[in-house]
Amino acid sequence: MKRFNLAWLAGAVLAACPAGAQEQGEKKLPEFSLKAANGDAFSAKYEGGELSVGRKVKAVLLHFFQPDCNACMVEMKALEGLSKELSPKGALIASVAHRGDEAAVKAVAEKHKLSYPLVLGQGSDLAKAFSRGDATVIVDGKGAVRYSQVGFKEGDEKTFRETLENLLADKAVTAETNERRRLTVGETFPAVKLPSLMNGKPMSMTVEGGKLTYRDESGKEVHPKAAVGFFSRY
Amino acid sequence: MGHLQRFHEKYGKDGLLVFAIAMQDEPEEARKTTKEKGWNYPVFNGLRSALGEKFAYG
Repeated sequence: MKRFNLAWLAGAVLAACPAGAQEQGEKKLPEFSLKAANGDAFSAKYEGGELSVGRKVKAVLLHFFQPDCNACMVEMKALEGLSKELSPKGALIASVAHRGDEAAVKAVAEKHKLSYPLVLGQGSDLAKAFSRGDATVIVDGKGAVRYSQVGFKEGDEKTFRETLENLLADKAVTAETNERRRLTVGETFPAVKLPSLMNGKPMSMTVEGGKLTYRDESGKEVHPKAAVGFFSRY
Repeated sequence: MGHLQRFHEKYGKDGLLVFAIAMQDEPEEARKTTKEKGWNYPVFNGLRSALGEKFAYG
């Protein structure tokens, strides 16, 4: 198992849910000084209130990733295309590894033939502030966060493109931050009705008559006192 | 998942249900790993599910 990305809890408090970047109280990109996997410096600073990441920029997309995250790799392939398209127009796109050493990050670049900046960010304050949920954050020329989301699904790059193009053209950002939900205390557990991974037969975890109800592949029903579940990639 | 297996073994008899929702792109690989590791709590296949879209990330 490489990691799990969302812990669920019903009936007892046993695990915590990670929060999205937009929930962490940081709405402005901090100054930072990091290194890219190719050895180049990658740093951000403010000059007269204007953001500079090696050069003055009007639109910056930072994607926080882990080298063994499948969804991150899908996003990075999309960002490679987006970078080729929008970098000549002045946007800056980079992926920051919030876990994984230099060798792991270089391996990702080589395997997926990525030419846009991959930044070594493990343990950095930048990663601590923004990375949870493998977030993507878009900031404007003053460093203000104008869009963020956790996770990625194919098609999200259209939102990234639109947001970056709007910032480059000094237009209003229309995309709403895309936040994956998390359960909060007091919420009813959502129905889980999915096939078994092992044999494809239907299973369910629901709340029926106020009782947590699990039905296994054979239809056998149990009412657990508590449950802990999580999404997982192996 | 190994930690949760220990939870399952220790507290299952007391009424705790441990479960996972696999978001693995290659379900066969996940099945193989689950068998090899001996994880025997319920694992749903959540790939491309609405639930995964709503709650899972990464």
